[in-house]
Amino acid sequence: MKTYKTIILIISISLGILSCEQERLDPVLTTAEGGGTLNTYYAYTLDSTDPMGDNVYGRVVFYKTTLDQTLVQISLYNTDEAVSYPALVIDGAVGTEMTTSMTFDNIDGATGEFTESKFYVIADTAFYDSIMDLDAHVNIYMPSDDSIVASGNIGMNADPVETN
Amino acid sequence: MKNSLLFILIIFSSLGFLHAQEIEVTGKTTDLSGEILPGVNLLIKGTTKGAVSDFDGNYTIDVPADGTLVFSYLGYADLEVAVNSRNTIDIALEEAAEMLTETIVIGSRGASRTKLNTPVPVDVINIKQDAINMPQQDLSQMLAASAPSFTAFTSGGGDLSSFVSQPSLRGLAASQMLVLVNGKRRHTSAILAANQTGTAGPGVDMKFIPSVGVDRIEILRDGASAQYGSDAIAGVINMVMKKGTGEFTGSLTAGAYTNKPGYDDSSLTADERDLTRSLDGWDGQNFQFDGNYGVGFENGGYFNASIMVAQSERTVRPTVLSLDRAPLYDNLYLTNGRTETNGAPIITNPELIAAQASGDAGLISSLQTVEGLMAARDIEQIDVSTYSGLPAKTNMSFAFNMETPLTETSNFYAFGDVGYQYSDAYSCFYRRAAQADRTSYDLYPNGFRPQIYNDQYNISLATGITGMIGDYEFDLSNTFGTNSTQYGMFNTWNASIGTGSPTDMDLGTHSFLQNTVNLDASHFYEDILSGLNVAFGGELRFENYIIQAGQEESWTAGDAGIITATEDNQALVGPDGFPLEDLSGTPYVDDLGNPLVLEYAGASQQLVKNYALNCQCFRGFAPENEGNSWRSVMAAYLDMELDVTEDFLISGAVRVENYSDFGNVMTGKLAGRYAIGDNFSLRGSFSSGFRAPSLQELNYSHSFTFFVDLVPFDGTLYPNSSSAAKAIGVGALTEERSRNYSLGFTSKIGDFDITVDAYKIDIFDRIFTTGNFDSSQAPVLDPIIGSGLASFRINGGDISTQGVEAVVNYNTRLGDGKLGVILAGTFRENKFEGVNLPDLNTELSDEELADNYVSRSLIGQFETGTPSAKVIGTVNYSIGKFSAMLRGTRFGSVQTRDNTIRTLVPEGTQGYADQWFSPEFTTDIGLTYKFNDTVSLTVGGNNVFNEYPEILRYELRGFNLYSQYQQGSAGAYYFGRLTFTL
Repeated sequence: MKTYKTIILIISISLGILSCEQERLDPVLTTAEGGGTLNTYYAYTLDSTDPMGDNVYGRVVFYKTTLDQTLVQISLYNTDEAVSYPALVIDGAVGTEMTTSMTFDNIDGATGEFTESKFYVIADTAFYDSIMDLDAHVNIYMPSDDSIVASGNIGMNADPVETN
Repeated sequence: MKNSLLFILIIFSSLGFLHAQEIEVTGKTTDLSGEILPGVNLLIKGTTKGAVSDFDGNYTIDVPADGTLVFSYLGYADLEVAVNSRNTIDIALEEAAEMLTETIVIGSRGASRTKLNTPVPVDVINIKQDAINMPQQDLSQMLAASAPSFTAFTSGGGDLSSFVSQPSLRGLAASQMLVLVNGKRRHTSAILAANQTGTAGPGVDMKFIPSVGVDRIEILRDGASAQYGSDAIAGVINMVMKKGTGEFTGSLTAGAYTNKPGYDDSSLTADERDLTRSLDGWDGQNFQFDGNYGVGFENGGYFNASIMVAQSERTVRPTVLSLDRAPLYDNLYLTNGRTETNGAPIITNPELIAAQASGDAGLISSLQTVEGLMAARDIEQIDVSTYSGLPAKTNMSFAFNMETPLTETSNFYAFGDVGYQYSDAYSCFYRRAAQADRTSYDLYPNGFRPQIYNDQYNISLATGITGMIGDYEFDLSNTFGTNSTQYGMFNTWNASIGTGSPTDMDLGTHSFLQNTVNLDASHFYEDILSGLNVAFGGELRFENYIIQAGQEESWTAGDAGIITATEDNQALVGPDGFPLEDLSGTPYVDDLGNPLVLEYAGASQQLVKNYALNCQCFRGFAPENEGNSWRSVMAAYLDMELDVTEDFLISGAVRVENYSDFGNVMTGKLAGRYAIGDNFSLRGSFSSGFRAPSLQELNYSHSFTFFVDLVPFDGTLYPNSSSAAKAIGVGALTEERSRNYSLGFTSKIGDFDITVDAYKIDIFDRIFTTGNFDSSQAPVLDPIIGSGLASFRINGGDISTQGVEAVVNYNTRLGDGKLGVILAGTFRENKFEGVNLPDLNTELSDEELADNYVSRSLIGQFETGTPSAKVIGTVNYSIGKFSAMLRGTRFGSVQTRDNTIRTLVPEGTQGYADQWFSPEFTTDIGLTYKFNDTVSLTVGGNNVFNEYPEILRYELRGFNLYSQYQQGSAGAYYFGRLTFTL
């Protein structure tokens, strides 16, 4: 009987050693915070100041990231590929060209988008939630003569053309 | 599972109550010179109850006081001793004239013969004796290590192939070798697994049989379809299970691979050398417990039970390519240029956003490079490379073997096993984040490595009655076997249904069932010449194969990449007002550069993102792949062996089989042996054979899906009964037929035993799988497959293999110990004799059709995919409490043949990237020290010098880094084993 007890003991210990769960290989998920799809945004129209001429128009979009940063995207049609267009936020509604409150990166005429990066980053985490109260507009300039080629109200001066 | 283990424990416990009270006899076994003989077999005459003497030659057995003990030992004459109520019986065995007196039951339905007396070549692997010093624990790997005719290919990847380690013989497929357990046909796995001979096929999965329950394995290296039926083309192996051992044997083994690259890295590019390293040190850690206990009944019967529980972790052998060749990220990813189907941006590089916010120009620049972002995320290229390696496994199985007298002249016997296996394996290329059609930032920001896994359940049960009817011995048996395999995949998703996709999916279930009823009868006529054995019998077999579909997400085509208009004349623009873009960032615009417009709300659609369909990277089995097929097989045979004289044996067999799905097959065999003197004999055989197409091959169907514009299409491997097969003219699969020739001699010269056998096997109508056909190549397929693809299984060509196999045994005493040396080698040539091209309904030229019918790489895989020469040298030495095994194996060269004409590197010319791999040599070792009668410790390893095969050439480096067809790419393995005998 002692032999059988020994056998059962050996089996039990062995099964105990072997009863571990198999660990699966995990995917590499390392990444900084703030990534993912930008589904929260305000999009405003930028109208051409010369519809019958150059007719540069498009949109400016303010996206909110998961870290509450604001990413700005400008997309323009009919830009001259040889031109780098300054883009500014000006206080007041269109036509009130007094104080520049923010200077974006220039627009690359070849793509109609920012030259440096797809997005201009506003690190101020309070900015996005204050957009609707902003008394401002966005101007796109022709650098050769500082003329405005496209312009559009934002914040309290216009309803977004699209939002989510 | 807990209940199962408890049940097993109860069985072990209850065996004690069956033990009868008899007198205990002890003694010592020696030879005539007084040298101790360990491992002498004892049997109580007239029963099947026995014991084995230990390392010191001591034995103990309970035996009736008036019984008789029969002692037998390899190389010595049997000795019968009456007990006469004695409690101590020491015996001395006399060396036999013939060293190898193991009796063999395979290949003959008559009286057992010794290895040197069989008319056809038979090897015996004494598992019970050899296992203690062997690093290998899986029976198929044990066979491959012991007998050069065997190969046991374990895939380092491959969708379904890593789950089965199926042995094959003489360079032919696993399905061309018949496996028996105690002489009864063993069922195959439900899995159609790839093998080194080119075409996927079913094979017997031997790991469900605990090796500790196996007494020995007999290997018949000759065609034997006329004796055993289908599959016995390359040969037959018979596993003989242990009987009433009268003791408990258990072992606990632990081992691991060193995982140190032992290759010549000069074949790698400079970038690859910089990026490649060993991952995570030792790997493949494994633990295995084996236990076996057998008891004899008072009535002469026995019951033997075995249990095996094993767990092994994965090995990782990464294939690290340069950043240029396999960049983890693409430019859109690095610059946050990705968008959803509706145009919403996806921030894939939040590190860049943070750098922009801080205004760090250097970091902004760095993070827009693959190296920069990987460094920021602390990712090395090896972390995100494609992995090959041995799968992680958990195995459990329980087996038993019993026999008990029913009457004076009849016995009841039963044996079987029940087993479970979980396994997860590598089968997929790494899905890099750069591959926008199949990666998801939300689920897998740096890509992912899908892994296939399976849960297998395996059951086998044979029951039968042996006895006498008149002068004839009969054996009536029923053998049932089933294998069920459920496939799954984790670390995956179905991109076409979006991020709501499950990441762990059920891909479907395959199951195979086989039930065989046999009635065999035989009689030995002593007075006809020197003896005639006549045997005849019949067989009735049912088989069933089922494919069940997996969950819908694993095979469906979702619409996550499709926009359906919600209003009339809807412009396809994103939040930024720019046109929506495809996966590469190309905008959807009309000829004037304006965004596309969807005309009708609810009706007009556009495929914006061509997301990959189905489960990555293996489409689940879909409803169209489902099947439930049956067939029945009836067979009858006549088998005779005539000893014309004491020196001249001739045998013949004929067998007829009827398959319900493809008709009749008749096979025959003639074999003979002629002894010249006591120490030399000639032997030869000729036979015809066949292999019926398995139900798996007849009915397996699987599809992959691809897009043409908006519409998904399937590439499908169609069953031969399908309308697609009929349309193109592919006929029903028929049996592979074979002709086997074998001629050899056996000889004993001093202490040397030599067998040399030459053979040739011609196989007609070998089953292959075609390449893909499309509708432009075969317009008749257009109504069925449209823009899809179709492939088929075909009796595609004739093949042959010929070679020479030689085995030399040398046994002697060296000092106070025993020395045994075995040198065995096989040298063969496999040849594809030609394609059997039917008149198919295609637009292809004969040459184009032949190339697609049986591809160049398939032919190459058969002809040169396995080593043409394999030599194994084994030295066993035992002295006192020590025993040792040293084994060297030389694997001959193999060649991989490419199927695609491509630009060769570094030549720059166009051609096939074929590659020769030089011969390889590995060394295995096992050392055992026996502390006492109860406990032994074994240490050792295989491939102890860490020999890796050569690295694949640049063009072929993708999934694997090494050739898989010699010693494998696992490297050195070391183990320790505690063995208990109680």
